Amino acid sequence: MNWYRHRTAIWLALILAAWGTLKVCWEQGIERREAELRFHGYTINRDLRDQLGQGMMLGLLSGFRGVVADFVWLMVTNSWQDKQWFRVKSMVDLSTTLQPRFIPFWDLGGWHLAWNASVDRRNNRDEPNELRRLKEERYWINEGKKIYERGAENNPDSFEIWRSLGLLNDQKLHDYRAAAEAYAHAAAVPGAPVFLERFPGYMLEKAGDDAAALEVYKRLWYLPRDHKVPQFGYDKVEERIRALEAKLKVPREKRVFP
Amino acid sequence: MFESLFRIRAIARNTLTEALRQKVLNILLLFGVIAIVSGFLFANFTLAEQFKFLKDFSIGAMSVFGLLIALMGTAQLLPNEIENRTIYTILAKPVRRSEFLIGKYCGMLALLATTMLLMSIVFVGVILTKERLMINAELRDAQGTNAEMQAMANENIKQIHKEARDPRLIQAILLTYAKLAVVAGLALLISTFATSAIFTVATTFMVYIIGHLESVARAAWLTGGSEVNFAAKIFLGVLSFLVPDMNIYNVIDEIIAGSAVPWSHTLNVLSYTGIFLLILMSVAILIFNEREL
Amino acid sequence: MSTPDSPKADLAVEIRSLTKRYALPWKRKVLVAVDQLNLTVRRGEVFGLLGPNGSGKSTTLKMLLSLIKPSEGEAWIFGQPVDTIEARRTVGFLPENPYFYKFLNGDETLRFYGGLAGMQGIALDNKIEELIKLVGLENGRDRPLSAYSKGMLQRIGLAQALIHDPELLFLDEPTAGVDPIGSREIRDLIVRLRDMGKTVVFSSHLLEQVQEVADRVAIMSLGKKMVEGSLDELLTVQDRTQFIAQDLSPAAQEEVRKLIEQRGGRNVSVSSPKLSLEQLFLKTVEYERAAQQPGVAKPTNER
Repeated sequence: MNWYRHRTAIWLALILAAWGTLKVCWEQGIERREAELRFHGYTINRDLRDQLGQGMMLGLLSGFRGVVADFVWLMVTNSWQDKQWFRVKSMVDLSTTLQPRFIPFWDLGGWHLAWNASVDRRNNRDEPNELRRLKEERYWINEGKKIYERGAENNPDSFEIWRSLGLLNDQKLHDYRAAAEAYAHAAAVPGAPVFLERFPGYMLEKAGDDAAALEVYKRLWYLPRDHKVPQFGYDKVEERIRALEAKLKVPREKRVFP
Repeated sequence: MFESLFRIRAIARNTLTEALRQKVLNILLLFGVIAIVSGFLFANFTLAEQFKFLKDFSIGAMSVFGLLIALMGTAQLLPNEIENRTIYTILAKPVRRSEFLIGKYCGMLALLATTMLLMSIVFVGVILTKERLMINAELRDAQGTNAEMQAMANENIKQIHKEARDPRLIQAILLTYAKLAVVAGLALLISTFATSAIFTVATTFMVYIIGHLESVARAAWLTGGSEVNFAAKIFLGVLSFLVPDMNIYNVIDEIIAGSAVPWSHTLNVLSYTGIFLLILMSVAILIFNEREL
Repeated sequence: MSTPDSPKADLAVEIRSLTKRYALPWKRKVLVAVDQLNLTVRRGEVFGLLGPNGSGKSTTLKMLLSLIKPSEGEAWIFGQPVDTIEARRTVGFLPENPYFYKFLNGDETLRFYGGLAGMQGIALDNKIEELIKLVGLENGRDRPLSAYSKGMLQRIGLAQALIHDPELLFLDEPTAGVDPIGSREIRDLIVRLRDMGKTVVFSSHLLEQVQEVADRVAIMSLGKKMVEGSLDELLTVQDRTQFIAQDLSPAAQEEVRKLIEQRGGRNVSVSSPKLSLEQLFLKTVEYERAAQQPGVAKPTNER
């Protein structure tokens, strides 16, 4: 009689205990899988709460991370138009923290700092001291570089950020070896455009290391591929090899094109 | 068994009809406005940004409107039936209480599916229009330019195609639907013992928010060391046992941000949702069977 | 819960010591809504459940439909325990002041309830046709229920209760709030249903209506059944006799009176000796209430 009266409560307890155990294990599994897939780039902490404000925090807690990140990104754009570079930087940091897997946040964010902010500070008419202007320019280029580097670390499967890092090293920092390395990384990502393969060669030539550049071109040449496919650009590779072999005075028997 | 399904269908259909005649679908107009505005307002952003905004805001709006229906609509299902005494006439027929509850829930699921489907159609319409317009613009700009410019235009057109016809959006919509089904289920469960619709709405919303923090609670419970005291540990454990992990549906954002989300992962999350809903309904039925009407 | 003998399938309703208590924790009280009720309704009769508001009529009906669980006691419908789905196959129910789904029209309402009872196709179409005619709602088929009058709602409610052709009907205050003409129509319907062989149990606090249609009645007060029986049994004054004669002159009346007195008859009068149901009702209910008044120990306070 007693058992009969409490049977609903007993059933409830049994169901919840069994389900609860399964549920926790299942959720742990899903979370592990998400970590493998590199989701969840952020944790909710006080810093984030202070930066976002209550409305956006509620949005975040209601499962609208993408929308919140978009609003933050719109603030990036506003601050960029107003040339508030430190605000741009913190908003870029925030949006990339919220959605580290959205490549354009990194790509455009780094570009805002390394190109737009740096040029704006170098041409700053309110600062008569040129040395200081150059220092500021350098500062923003480096901030942009940091964004790229963090982005690349978070998105090893994206060639875009590596390519942007290569461009930055090449055009802004004139560190051609670093540029060559970044382009090599970009080209190694599956699905990257093939023309990126030749970029490390170009950069090494620009760095003055013709021998290393030749090695890059030669490696490409000996890849087991159909040399007639125009995308591979073997005409350009051949041209570079011939030019470098001549320039380095490689002995005939060791040349690709004797 | 077959008879039972027949009765469940009758109740579900009635629930759906009632909601549709109350012009729930008027929110489609509002959704249309949001989708169109977010589709065409950000024209001077890059391609990737434009499509992300459109997708985020449209699917976000679907989610918000769906949540409103799932929360407000479901919270009122039982109170309305009891207040209008229609539940007496239904249960006086050879209908089990479980059938009544499942029928009501299925009706709500059907309503959510209808709304989501129609919103999706509007969304696809907007995104395809946008695709058309953007491709036309690319072609126009590339006309009479050099080969390099035309190659770039072709690249852009390829990207527009890829963004506009991303099959992963199906996964995002399915997961949004799963999330709504969970919210509706929670609201129905809570309304089986709640005394007012307001209580149900408030409690369900709270559980929904806590659900987004469940993973944090679970981590603290499973791995937390001595800094978590015994009482807190029990609290966190109970929380992890009872509250669903709503963060698993955040995959929607990953999909829109362009991450590759394998179907196996989506299906895993969907089956978790399915089992969770079964448990939810069983508990709701157990409680509802005891309820004095 | 041991029962002395098994329930009888030929009784439409059989109730044995049915009790419903509600705990009122904030008042530290237990409210006894229905107290040790025993009742039987025979197949084919119209049974009136009488009582003032709050006497436990609706609670009893709800227990018979398993909408609430009895605290004690058992009840059967045609021999089936009331908490089984089988019991409800043979029952139609019209709740007090029903609302129904106001977005459905009359036709759709009946279709919905028919579906619940497992009906479909031509059988359902025909049944709807028949019921619309029976309750006279031909003009309400296509109108949404939100545009129905009180009387029309009551009639669609009756049709709904009849959709699966139940043998037994529970009508809770079927004429409450309906105008006199509508009320008259509903009473006529009850009589027609009896003629169709249905058993009807209805509750009411309107006495002349009960008197008009019920074969048997039970009067409830404060959760207890006070009296039960056929109207004739209840309303006939057992220790009195009535002669009815036409055109009897005053002189002859005087002669008869003398004769009766000679034979031991007392208190001879010529007035109508039958109680009205109203008198009986008031007598019963007032007596019960008066009995409960003095003292602290009300029956509503069991502890």
